[in-house]
Amino acid sequence: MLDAFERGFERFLRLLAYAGGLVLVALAILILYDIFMRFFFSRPFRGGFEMTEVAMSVIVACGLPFTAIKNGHVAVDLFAKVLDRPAFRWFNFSVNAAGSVMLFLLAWQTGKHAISALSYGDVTNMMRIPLYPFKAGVAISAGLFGVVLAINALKALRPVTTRGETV
Amino acid sequence: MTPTLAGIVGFLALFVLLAIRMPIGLAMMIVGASGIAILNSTTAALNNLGSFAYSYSAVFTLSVIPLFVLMGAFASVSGMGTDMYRTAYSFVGHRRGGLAAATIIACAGFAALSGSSIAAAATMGKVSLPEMERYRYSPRLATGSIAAGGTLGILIPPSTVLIVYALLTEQSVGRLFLAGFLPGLLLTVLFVATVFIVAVMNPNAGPPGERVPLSERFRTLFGSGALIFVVLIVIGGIYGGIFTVTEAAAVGAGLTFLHSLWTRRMSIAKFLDALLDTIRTTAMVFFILIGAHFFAPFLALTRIPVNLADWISELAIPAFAILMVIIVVYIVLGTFMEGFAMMVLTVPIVLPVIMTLGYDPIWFGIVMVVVLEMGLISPPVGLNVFVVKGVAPNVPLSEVYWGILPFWLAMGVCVFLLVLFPDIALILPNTMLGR
Repeated sequence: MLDAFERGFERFLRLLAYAGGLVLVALAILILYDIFMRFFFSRPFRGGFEMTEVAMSVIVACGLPFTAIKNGHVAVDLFAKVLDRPAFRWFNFSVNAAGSVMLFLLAWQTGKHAISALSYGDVTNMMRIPLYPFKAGVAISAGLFGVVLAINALKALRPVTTRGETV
Repeated sequence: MTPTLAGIVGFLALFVLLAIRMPIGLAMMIVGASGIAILNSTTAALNNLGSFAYSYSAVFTLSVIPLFVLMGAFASVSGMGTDMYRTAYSFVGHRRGGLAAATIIACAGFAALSGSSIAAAATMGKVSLPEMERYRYSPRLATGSIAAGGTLGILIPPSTVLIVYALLTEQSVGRLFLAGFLPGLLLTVLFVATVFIVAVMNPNAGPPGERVPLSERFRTLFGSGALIFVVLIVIGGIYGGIFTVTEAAAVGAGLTFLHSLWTRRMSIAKFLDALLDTIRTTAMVFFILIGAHFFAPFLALTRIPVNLADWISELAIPAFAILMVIIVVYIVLGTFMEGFAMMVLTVPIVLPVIMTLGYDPIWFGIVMVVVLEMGLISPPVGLNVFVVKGVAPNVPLSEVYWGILPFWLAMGVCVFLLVLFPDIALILPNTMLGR
């Protein structure tokens, strides 16, 4: 059940990461367009700076949970041999659970900031792009990241054979 | 709790969290936010939690990171690495150890397109290892040269590590890139010299390859034309004042993409893989950066960096000795910590000390990168070593480490030269961009 959920969830996060990749490509095209217009028509695109900023938040938000489910976030593996022993099951559960709680807290607080950005009508300076959808995106990303760690926590609890393989 | 005590407890907590495999970004976030809650207020900590994740990812200057990573990923697909290796091979392959030297040179060339050591080692490893196996190179020299050559990726501009250093220390990215250029060249020369020394001392380690006629050599040089062209446009564009660093990165990504279409090596699957790799690297870097932004204000609240700098400036120890201690500590830390993480963690503390001692922050950034590179290839946790191991699964890890040792010593020589002659790093930025 957990494995099936994890597989489906990973597929979803992969799609999200692809979406982030496409935003990056769009950003590159936007920058190239800006250079083109400046050189040949002396008409720089004024909103480029702000669009780059919000695009960056989307790219990072789309990538964080997928990187997490692929174990791509940097951690120190120095004591892996000791920590992978069955005796440390509860310990590994706690580490992941604590991380998960922290990320849910981050998601909750960022979500609150997104809501206040909506109610105050926070926008960028020049193009007046509303900020709340992007803050909400980061909040959702943190929440998904938290789910990944929650899955890891549950996986840590599963019984392990003597060879260190999960049953 | 006094601020200093809170700082010490914070550091201990951080090390414990790291030891039990908490991702570094998360560990810094937990310790940083808790520290801010204790030293300032819970409201402040919660407020930071609500705002930092967005405000430190929506940063204009950092858009160069995904763009340069994308450029490297496209360059990998387009076969520019292979072309560069062919060129280097045709010029030095017929000498003893020549194939390993060609690997180093090709890595240096590829590093000018890629800001990541892992990408450089993985790309060049796939190309050069089969060749070296064909000529019965010793596995030590073969894997050692790839692992070491790959590290050039973060020294020769563009470099993701230097971009992050620029951000952490409020230095100019352009200046740091320029400062990395000569040391990168120096390290390349030192690596090539190391290869030849190893090959002379042990003739069986690197038998000579085939001699390539002169006309053929220039034909392969022409084959690397695309790489050279892109590097000239990107790096030349930045220093010629034609592009900003961000624009140069976008232009580079566009050009490498076009080249991959031109060579017909790009497919939809490869395009999506390149995107996915880029997004993963970007997310990894940004998560560490976001975590670091929680940890840095906590450190500032403890006043440890300022107090430490004051204390050190009052010591009757020559600045040089303190610098040496810092470098040795970095080398030791680098053996078990990931380079990025180590830099993000230590820069807020070490930089005030370095500035107090009167050293140049740009120069120190370059020294630090070389020391980080040493960590990338030293046991027990050398990331590049694992990459090489992935390309050469039949070579035991211990053999790879033995093969790396001479190159590691060459890096030590590079650090030594940089300390002795800081101008190696500083002459280009100071003459071209003014002091």
